[in-house]
Amino acid sequence: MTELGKIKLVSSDSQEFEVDREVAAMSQTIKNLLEAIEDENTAIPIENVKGEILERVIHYCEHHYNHPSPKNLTENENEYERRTDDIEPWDQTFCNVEQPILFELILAANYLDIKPLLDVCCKTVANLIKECRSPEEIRKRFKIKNDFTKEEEEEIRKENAWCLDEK
Amino acid sequence: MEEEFFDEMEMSQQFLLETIQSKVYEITLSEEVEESNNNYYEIYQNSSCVLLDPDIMTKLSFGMSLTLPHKKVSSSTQSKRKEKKPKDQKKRSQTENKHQLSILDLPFEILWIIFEYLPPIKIGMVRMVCTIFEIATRDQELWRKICLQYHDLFIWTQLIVPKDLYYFQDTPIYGIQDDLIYKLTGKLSTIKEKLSHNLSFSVFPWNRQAPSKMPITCKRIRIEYIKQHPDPEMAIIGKIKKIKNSIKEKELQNSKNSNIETKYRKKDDYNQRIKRFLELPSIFLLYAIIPFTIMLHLWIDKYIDIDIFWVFSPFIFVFILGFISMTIATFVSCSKFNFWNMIVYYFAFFVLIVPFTTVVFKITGILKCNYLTVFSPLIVIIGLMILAIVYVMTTQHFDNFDCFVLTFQLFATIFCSLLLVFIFYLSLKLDNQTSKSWPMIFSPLIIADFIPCLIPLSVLIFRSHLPVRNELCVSLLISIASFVILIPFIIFQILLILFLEGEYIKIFALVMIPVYIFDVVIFIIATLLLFGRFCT
Repeated sequence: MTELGKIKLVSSDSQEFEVDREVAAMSQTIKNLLEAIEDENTAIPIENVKGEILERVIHYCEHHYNHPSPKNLTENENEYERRTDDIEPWDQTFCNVEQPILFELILAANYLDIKPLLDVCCKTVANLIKECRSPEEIRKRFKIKNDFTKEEEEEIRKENAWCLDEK
Repeated sequence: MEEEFFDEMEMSQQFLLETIQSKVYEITLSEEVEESNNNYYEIYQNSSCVLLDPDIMTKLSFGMSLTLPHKKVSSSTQSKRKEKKPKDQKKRSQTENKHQLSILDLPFEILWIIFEYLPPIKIGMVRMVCTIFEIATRDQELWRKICLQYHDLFIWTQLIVPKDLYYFQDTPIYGIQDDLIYKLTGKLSTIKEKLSHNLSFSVFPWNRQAPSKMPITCKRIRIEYIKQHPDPEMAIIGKIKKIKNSIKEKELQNSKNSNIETKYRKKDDYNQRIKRFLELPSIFLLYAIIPFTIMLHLWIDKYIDIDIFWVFSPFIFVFILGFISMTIATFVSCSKFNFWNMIVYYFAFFVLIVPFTTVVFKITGILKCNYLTVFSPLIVIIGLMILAIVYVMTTQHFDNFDCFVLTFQLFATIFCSLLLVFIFYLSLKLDNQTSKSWPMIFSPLIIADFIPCLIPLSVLIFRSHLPVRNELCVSLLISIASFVILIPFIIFQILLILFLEGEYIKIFALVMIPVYIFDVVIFIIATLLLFGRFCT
């Protein structure tokens, strides 16, 4: 039996988390599920998210529920502008995790439809890419194998020479 | 499509078999393996997909590692994969414990979100990292968004407008291009004026940087176009012909558009005529200088005995003409915004007339105050001009082209400041408040005279920042012309100083020689302007 105003979330590895209904509703997916479920005591299974990740997501939602950032309340000034230098310090610390966890968070945010979390994680990844000065650096940072053939690589380098010239 | 998919799979199967035989194991096979309908096993490894025979499958056990070819996923494979996505996710969750997630495991939708936060140069760099990134960064929608964001640096050339703009010069004025551009903003005349800058541009591929000299207006037009054409398919260069034809059809079907166009054209012509009408007093102002200088000379040398008021009468006539033409233009103009333009014109008119009147009144003896008071409206106006220029200089947004404007503003500030000093000195001298010699009084004015001579120099320095060759030529011609006009004026000032000193030149007629040369130049310019404006 869950407390009044609280719901139970069950991760893919069967870990259970009790969360405030309003906090959980920050996820559009959970919000839709809550509207569909009649029995309030039913545990909501989050099949695609591991317990460790779900715990982090709940932590993020709780923090942002208690400390709503003013930026989230207002509309974006320029609808086409995509900034990565506006990550709040708390979010920066939150996203300062190992890459696999960061990607898991992204997938979880995407699955649970938590736009601010998805945005902040994507911005963090974008910042990691931005810091790299060459394709080799990107490969090294994200442990990506160069799967181009020599000819392909040469062709693609030729095609994108304009961005390598830029200092 | 299906056949293509299976062909690719068979090739991959062969590769897999060879890999097994050569015992090269690198990547865990256990992820994303599932039985397909035809008893084959599909293995997804990032964007690669292999179809595995059940016999081979039995030779493998989960946890075994293989090197899989990272083949580019064909559209059919991709679509197949998209269909498989929910199953993918299920499998992923089952194998999460054994496999650490990497950026390549993210679906394209998320990769696109990440890439949207990157500047175009970084996206270009990302393309070179691996096949998956290369495929992901090909997305047109991604580039459309990037170009909307970085419109001042980047161009999305899979849109037809630049191509059309390129041929604008050789096509009829009210052709297809106008129709297209008209749809962009609805302000045909304004856009057409702006388009004159765009003629020197050619087509660039979608992932190229915009030329540095590209005018901001052109970029804005592009942005408007991108915003209004979210479907990239519509904007592929190869389809220009098709689009043009469809526009032609639309033109035939919808006669309303052409009616609006004609209406705008008529309105443009009408406003153009009013504009010319307003330029008339400024041309007459040039003509007025000639009788004024002649009468002033005759009056100083006492050849004619008339009131000084009549010496200034040509200017008074021009002022009255200006006032009347402005008033008529206000009432007959069809543009609603012209009303505010007229207010500005009226204000400028009175600003000019006040110092002029005070000077005339002082000479005629109506005003009894000292010269500093007489010149005070002029001092205030020039002071305000300096403040206005400085304000504009400090608040405007600079780009390459503005280097020239900035230099011009800087020169204008220096010129006005020197003029201010000269007027102040002159008023002190006329009020006998200073014992400074005439050369000292005139020195700020002479220095100021040389400033317009520096303009041709600045044009030459910043010529590379001017958007088109024509503009450079026009600027140079204007600068050289103003320099030529200034020469007699500077000589006049020097002769006047010598005359006022009373030692070197005793005859005033000598001082007036450069003025008469100046008059001839002014007469030619005014006549050329008059014919240029009203006879073409």
